Amino acid sequence: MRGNHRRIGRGVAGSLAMALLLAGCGGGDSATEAGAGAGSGDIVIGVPVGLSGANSVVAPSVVQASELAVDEINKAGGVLGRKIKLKVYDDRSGAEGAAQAFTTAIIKDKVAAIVAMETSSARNAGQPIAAKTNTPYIYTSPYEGAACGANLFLDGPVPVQMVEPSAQYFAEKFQAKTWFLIGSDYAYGRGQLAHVRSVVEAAGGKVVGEEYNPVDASDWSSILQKVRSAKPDAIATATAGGAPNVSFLKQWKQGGFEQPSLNLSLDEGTAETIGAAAEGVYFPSQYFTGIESEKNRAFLEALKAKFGAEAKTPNFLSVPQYYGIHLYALAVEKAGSTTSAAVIKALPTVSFDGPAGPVSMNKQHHAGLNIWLGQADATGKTQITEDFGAVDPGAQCPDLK
Amino acid sequence: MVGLLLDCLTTSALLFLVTVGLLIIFGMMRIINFAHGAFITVGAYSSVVAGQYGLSPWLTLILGPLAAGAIGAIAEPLVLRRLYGRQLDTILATWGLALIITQLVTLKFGRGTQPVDSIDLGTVTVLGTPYSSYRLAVIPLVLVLSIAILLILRRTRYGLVGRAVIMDDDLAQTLGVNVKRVRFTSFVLGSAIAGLAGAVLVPMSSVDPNLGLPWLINAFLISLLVGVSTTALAFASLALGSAQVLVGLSFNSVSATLAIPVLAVVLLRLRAHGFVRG
Amino acid sequence: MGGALLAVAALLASGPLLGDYDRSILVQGMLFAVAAVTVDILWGYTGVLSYAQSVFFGLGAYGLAIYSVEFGFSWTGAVIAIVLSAVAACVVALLLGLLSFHSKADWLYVATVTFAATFAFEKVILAGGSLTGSSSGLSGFVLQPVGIADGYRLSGLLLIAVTLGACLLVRSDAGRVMRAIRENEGRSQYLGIRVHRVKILLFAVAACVAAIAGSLYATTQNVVAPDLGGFQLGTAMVIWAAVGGRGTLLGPVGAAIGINHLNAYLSGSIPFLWQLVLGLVFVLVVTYAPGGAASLIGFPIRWLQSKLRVPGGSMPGGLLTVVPHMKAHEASARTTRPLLEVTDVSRSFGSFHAVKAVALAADGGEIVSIVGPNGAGKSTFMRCISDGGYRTSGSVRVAGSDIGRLTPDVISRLGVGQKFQTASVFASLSVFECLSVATRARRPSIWRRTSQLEIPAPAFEIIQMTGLDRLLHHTVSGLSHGQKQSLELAMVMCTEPRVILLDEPTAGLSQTERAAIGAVLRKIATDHLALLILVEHDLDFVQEISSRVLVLHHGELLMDGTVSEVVSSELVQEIYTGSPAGME
Repeated sequence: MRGNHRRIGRGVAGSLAMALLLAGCGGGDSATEAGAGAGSGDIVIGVPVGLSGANSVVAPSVVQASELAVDEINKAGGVLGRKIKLKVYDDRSGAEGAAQAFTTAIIKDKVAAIVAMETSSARNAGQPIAAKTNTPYIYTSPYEGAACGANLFLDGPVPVQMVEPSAQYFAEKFQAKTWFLIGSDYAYGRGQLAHVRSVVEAAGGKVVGEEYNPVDASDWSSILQKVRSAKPDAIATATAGGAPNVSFLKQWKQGGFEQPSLNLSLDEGTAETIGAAAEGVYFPSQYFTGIESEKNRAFLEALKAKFGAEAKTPNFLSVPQYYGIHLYALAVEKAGSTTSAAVIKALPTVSFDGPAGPVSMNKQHHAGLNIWLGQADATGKTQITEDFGAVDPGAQCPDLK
Repeated sequence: MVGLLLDCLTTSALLFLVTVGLLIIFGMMRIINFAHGAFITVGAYSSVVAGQYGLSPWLTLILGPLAAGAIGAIAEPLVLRRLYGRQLDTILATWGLALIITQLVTLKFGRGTQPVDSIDLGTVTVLGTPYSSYRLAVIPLVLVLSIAILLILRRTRYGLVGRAVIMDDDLAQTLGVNVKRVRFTSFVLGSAIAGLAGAVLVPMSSVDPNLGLPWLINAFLISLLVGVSTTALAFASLALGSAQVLVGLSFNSVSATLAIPVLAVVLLRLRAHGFVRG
Repeated sequence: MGGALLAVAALLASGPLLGDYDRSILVQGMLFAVAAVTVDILWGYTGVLSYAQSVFFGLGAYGLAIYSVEFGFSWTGAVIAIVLSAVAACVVALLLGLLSFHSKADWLYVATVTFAATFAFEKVILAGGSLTGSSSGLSGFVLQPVGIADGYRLSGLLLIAVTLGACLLVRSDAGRVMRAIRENEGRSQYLGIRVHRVKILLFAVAACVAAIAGSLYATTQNVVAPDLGGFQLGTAMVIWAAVGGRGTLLGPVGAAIGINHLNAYLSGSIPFLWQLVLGLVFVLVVTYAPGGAASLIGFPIRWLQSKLRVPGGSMPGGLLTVVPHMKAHEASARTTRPLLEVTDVSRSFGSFHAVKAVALAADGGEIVSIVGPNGAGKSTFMRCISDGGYRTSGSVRVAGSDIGRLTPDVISRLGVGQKFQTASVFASLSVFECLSVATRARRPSIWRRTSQLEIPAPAFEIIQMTGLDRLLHHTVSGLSHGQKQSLELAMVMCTEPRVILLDEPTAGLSQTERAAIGAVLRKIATDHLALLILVEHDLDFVQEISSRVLVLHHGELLMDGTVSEVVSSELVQEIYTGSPAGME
């Protein structure tokens, strides 16, 4: 159609007609599900998660954890005599997708609540939509802290919970006086390392270097060069998860460094994927599969029984999601209704005891959590080396009770 | 100091490695292959397949180029051959190709980092500084590769004919040169070298569908800068690679990653035809 | 324009009919469509492939978000923020444009630099700390969020306004210039069109528009994140334009809205497969249907129209007329210096000297022919006069002023016109449009379209003589070789040059056309006191019209004399010895 532009003016309406046509195919079913949130019928929980994009790696385990929780609740008779139903949405691991997913869930499908393991940008995009309709929103990922909202509850750890006990442990066990801090240049990385710095300096130690790579960078040679000349006693890293962390660990290993390394973005699954390159690296978490407890064994077995060979290894992202669903159900039960206001009032008052111990979002909508320190061995398996017990999230939202 | 020097050399060698495949295609066909990053990714994923069949990680260095070259051999007649003379469209089509390859890799292997057994050579001590042996080994590899490419271009019939095509493809065509075959060979060769680069990157990076992406921009700009000459590429890689390392040392890593693009863009503005042409 | 009213009506009427969900996705889609329109203006109409439109979209979005976070949100504030971020986008675009559009950079450079810009944007945002919100982005900055219904109307109206504006622009005289640049950048430049300036200007305006759409996006979505300015969105915008149909405006609009909508519905259920399908469609369209969806949909419509059209009905685009200038041509002011002074001009390619120290002084009214065997440096010599950056050494003065290193467009404005060896015209434009682009009597209007054109008398004579005046509606690509040659010559004459460089003006012309052109050329020289310099192989033609002949051989000037002197020269005979066809 090059050069043929005479009909353009006539057809501006055409594109809108096309849009209308496209819109027509999706608008139909919204009426049938309206009112699912209140009154009788199933209670629908919306689970936006990164089915595509960066989070798609962990998304399946998160969805499984949610399904397991829903199964357990429904088998025990449901909530207020009603069944719980999940609706999963793709937030494409980012803000733009999350805005779409939240709009679909809250406005079109009228879900009763959102329980979601997402990126911080997805949370920031979704929360205004949830806040506007006062929809209870339980965010279940570790994050940088200080996200507050009357309808927003968070059962994942904030930096201070992970960093403080781990850094203190390093200072005692390895006599680490000088530290080198390495991160990806983004809010989470800088936030974590700021906490490490304050803990180190409070203990009389010294930070001899703090370096950041762009979030998508995978070449760490110039930073490793600086570590080599700074000769620190220990390093702490807070890179973006996935590729940057994996490439860092590989290059660290290749470079023949011997300092103890505290990795604030590693998890059990990734350690296993990397294998030998992660050998000896320490990382804290509020959940490890190796936790010795009756509840954890039962949880692992239940997953295996429900999903069989398809079962994904539960992890620090999927377990809070499991808790989140249970906590919501308990809150509805306690409130005696699915009305947002009542549920939001009840949420901080309920507690659920699961594979990682009892959790309650009673600290300004955040939760005190048990934290463990793990260490990867040569085969990529993680051994728990220390149990820090329950750690307080500190004052995250002073404006909330 | 020694570590710094080695960093400069190894960084430059890696830059050369990821760019040279692009350069061959750019030189022979006058197109920027936007699928180059995807071919690097394919090369790296050959290590995953090798692992699944219990093969030695060393075999990746052969499997990588084979796999990427094979995909190049399929793509050239299906897509690129139909677009000669429409250079702008070729950019778009190769970008589409990159989307397709990346999504196929994602569908087959998933979005996440893949577990791979990679080559581990440990470290050597160079003049008192411990350094990764594998990184060092990239230098001789690149030297051998560049000599091989030079020999191919100077000594083989493909090279002779190829250079004729570079100078004037219409003329070459009228002289009875099978330009079609030269282009096919160039694309497959360029893709295969991208695959080799991917295989070499495995022990240093996370094997995921976006492995090749961060290397793309630098490779694009450098190939615009150096045109068709492998010697100029060696020079540019050394200069820009060292510049990146030095900027990283004196400022921070964020400015270091911008060093190559900014330098290349400015150099191109001052000397649009880069180091050699015109 | 009725279409636009209809669209506004459709927009207002459709609002209440759609569910909130579809409307909220349409809001996104329509704002993306605005960006797609800017891609189409740049790429589809002007031939500038820019991946950086997402950067400007992102700048607009972040501008509003950052302003609202820092100073609090208010509607006055929002307007200030939108203006500020549009200005910022403009400035960035000007900088990128100055880098990308200059005589030494080609389209490949533009594509690569704009591609790199998207990566740089993401890096800057991620490193921006709390100001940009880094990877988390910024959200909740609009305190009283725009309702879905208002957002829908607002973004719909913006889309209609932008599409309408773009529509007027591409159909205007300026739009013709844009398409001329797309079709043949070199020819445009040698006609005196400041190609790089036009591109930079368009790039800046497109950036402004994309930024405004971005600001509105931030206002309606209440969230911004680094991917808004990233390469994925940037390439997606190019994909929309390609799949919808570049150079059709409506195609990209439809594709942006449609693909974004499908994205919302499909990415949840089949995320990777959907991306794969999108990639496949993109490659297929680029490879096999470069016109995009618009051409596929357009085909049956065109077929129907051609069937339904009443024979002899009105021509599309209305009545076009071309008339000669009525004003008498002012003879150029006589100076003491000759019109053209070439001093020791050389041009070498490495160690090969194509032109060696050639000198020439000639005045208006002369017809100078340059002869010599193939490879003698004749065309190279001509280019040394019309392109200041081309010669290796020496100097060229036109009407007393030194051309220095001036670019062809500026030299054209000094009064130098050049006709190339192979007919260089604008293939997809009509004859009328070609002439209109070449006539630069005034600045081309950006919204009006000329249908009556006054062109200089010599140009008029050429088109009259060759019958082109009866083919004004015809697309140039359908013309015969001779007609294209004549059209190019007429286009050159439209610029009213005083020094006219003609590279084989009669090649491919019939004997009668040749004679006619010869007459016109003589008339231009005598009546308008122009200087004509011809490269010619046809010795008869040379003898017939030249007042002076230069002989070039191996880049050197061997002879400079009258026709009879040269023809009788033994030296010239020697050069051509062994070439039985004489001077051919």
